[in-house]
Amino acid sequence: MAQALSPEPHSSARQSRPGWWRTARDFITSYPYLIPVLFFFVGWQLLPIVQSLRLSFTDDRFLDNQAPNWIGLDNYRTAIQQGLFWQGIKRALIFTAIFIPGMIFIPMIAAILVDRVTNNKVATVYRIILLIPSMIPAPLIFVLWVWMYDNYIGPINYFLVDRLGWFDLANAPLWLENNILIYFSIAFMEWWWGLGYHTMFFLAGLASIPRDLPDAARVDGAGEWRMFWGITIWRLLPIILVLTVVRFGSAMAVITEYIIMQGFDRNSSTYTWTMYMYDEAFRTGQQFRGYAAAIGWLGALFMLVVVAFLFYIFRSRD
Amino acid sequence: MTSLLVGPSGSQETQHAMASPRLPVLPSLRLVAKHSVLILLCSWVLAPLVWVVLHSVKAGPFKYFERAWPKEFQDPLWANYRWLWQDATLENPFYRSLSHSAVITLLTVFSTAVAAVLAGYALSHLSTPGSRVILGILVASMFFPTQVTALTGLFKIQYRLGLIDRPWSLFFPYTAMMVAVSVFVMRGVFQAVPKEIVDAARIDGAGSLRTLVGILLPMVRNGIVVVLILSFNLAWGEYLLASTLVNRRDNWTLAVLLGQGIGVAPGSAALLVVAMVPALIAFGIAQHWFLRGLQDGALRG
Repeated sequence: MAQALSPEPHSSARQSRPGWWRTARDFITSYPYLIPVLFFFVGWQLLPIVQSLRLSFTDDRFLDNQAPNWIGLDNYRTAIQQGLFWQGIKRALIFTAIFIPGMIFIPMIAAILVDRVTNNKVATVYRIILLIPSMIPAPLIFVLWVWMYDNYIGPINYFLVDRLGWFDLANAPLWLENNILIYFSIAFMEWWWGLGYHTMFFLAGLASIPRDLPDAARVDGAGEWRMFWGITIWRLLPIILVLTVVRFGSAMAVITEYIIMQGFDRNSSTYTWTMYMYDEAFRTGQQFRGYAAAIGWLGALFMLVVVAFLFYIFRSRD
Repeated sequence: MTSLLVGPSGSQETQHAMASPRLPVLPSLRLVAKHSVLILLCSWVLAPLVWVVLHSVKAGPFKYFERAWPKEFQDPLWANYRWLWQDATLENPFYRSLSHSAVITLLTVFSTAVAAVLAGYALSHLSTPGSRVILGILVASMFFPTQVTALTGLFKIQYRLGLIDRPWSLFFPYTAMMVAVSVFVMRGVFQAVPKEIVDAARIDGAGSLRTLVGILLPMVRNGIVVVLILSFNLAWGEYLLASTLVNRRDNWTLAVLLGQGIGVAPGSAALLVVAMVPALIAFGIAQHWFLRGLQDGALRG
């Protein structure tokens, strides 16, 4: 935090020239370094967003070669009246609510435990093992877990059916077919995937707690439990809040998981607003890119409102 | 690789539990509890990976219904892997996808690293007018669902540029997606370099570029490793754009080939393992610097 708030770097040689002169000179000496970043970021991040905003006010259809017409807010009006859009938002919210607690508290517990491992080598081994899934690219994870949840080759149902005998093949849980279970199945996979990476954040937070603080508390007779609620949780709170906001953003906008693990089934719980947008833009009918862009922007605006709200709540606590 | 990692951790851990003279009897119980929870978490992490490797060497008539330890193994064990590698021509979909993925990944990793190093330097050690605005926009882009919202616009732009179905061109959007995070990592690492070192180089008459290349670059190595690994990870595995901006089967990347439903055969598991291995090797080689780099740069602030 302190780093982020540190003052602007100042040039080493102060000149007696007027301010604009120095600004112009700084501009010439520093901006060449920013050209690559600006090239990529403006060209393939900012422009696409602006472009899709522009598209959302037109009736652009990819498959007929007519020039798109400006139709104002019609796309937005249609989307808001569509049950599918709101259902998509609702489904995304349910998934997010299930996903976030596990994505924060499991890594937090792991970090607190790793932080207490006194042998440095052992602690490093734990860190590396926990980080392994985070190093595997996204679709490989999803395909792997489709197999894990599979009723025929999947090891999860092997344990439940063959080992524990809780189910038989006829009533074994279908992790990805059941509309309620699938939220948990995908969330569980995401926890597995993000465990190590998020543990790193909490470890960085724990490292910032001065060592003598817990020691002093221990001398005063505070138990582990009281130390956690008295010291540790408050030191970790900023990280918890930031991760909540960041993970809210990624969980609401999940799409690749759903495409690979479930496909475009309008009755599935995974048919969220992102899937609806993709479906309209690239798969169904005339490929209504204008309408899809409007769905994308509506979803984004909805998310921004929630994020602003979260920031507001979290800020007032500090 | 996985079993190698588990082995030493187990043995060292018991040694450690025995050889801690400071702790009386009761905390040692606590020590056991701590390590057993951690070992449980680690086995949760490793189990699916072990399982997929086992699945990739299964054989026999029931290989599609065997759900744990294989009853029959392939003979030789790597038969499914050999099956992938034979017919080493571009007619083989596996090879074609692999070569597309390799090209895209190299381009992305290179351009992201160069862009992030230069910008991180400018935003930490040069007086850059408007640096706060740039940083603010980069932060904002991380809180905005860019990938989904930009998709339609991105298709339009690539279409106008004639880059649809040109797999190499995916490195433009990939680099753009990585820029925000990478710049923050590099800026954090550069800020850890004392100002005096930069000033001293200046006084010796080195220009800003020579200061960067000659003096600072070796000092920010950990951050560069983080950027390399993160961008490798994205480019090697990105699915959404790779399946949207590329239509023809011939141009699929490895991620799309895997994601488009490859069935559950052991041969597919071998393909998955082959796709995972480069990422794990890269991490294995770089983990030392990666952990340092995360601590230095990525996790600050």
